[in-house]
Amino acid sequence: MYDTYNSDTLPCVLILYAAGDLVEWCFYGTGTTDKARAKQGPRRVGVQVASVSSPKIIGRALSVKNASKQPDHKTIPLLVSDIYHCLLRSFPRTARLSM
Amino acid sequence: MPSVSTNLNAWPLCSVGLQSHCNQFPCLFLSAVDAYEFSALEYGVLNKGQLMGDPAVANNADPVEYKPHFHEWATVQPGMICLARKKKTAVFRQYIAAETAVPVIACAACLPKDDEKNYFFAGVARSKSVRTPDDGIGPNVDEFFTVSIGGMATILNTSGGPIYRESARPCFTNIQSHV
Repeated sequence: MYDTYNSDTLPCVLILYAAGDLVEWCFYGTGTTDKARAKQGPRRVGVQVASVSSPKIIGRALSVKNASKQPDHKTIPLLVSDIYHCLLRSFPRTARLSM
Repeated sequence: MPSVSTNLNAWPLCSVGLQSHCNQFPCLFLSAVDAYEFSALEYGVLNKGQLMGDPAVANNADPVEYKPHFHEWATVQPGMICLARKKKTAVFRQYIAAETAVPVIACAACLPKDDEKNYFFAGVARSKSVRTPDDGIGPNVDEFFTVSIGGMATILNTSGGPIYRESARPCFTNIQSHV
């Protein structure tokens, strides 16, 4: 799907509607706290938004709950509302060709 | 008599190591936590520089993470990301569990950011494997669980920000090339 800006002054801009953010696994991501983890249990493998060229992609998001609604999402455990569905290894054709 | 593909489409969840033609259905494997990975953890204490892997804090030696107990490290809950170490097939002949299951890890404790290149994605856990505290000698059984390598999975957003289902991205290019 795409949409365009119809303007004579701007260059041709193509708005690509991606099917969903690509997700990759990570040991340490932006949501991982760097504080002492004595009472939080062992660190688990996390996920974060990936670029199409990442070698660690596991899939793309199918649904979303906004995690940024948390006042401080780095220290507060994520709630059930942060769970999202992910389609594993089923990439759009354009993403697959570029990897 | 129905064909094999018909059977897979009708009953996709019970096939271990098989996947139906539709990629919306999961592909399941039997898996087990690789206990050797626990004993092979290089760092008993991980400092901030090793954890973040950021050159800006590379010299920060503040201890952040300590090696957990085995039962904490090896417990797997549904939705956890499972990884496997690259280039390890040579030692599987000594590993009985590897005959029937994929040896994986589901815990990143004491693994520095720089070690990410040594692992690959093995699946998302679909069933649990809850370990109990052992006698200190070490694990004596392998608890199997299933991982999903394809299809839909529900996992926790640990990225610290929103992950969008559909995103609009501007692309400054010639529209004719995309039509």
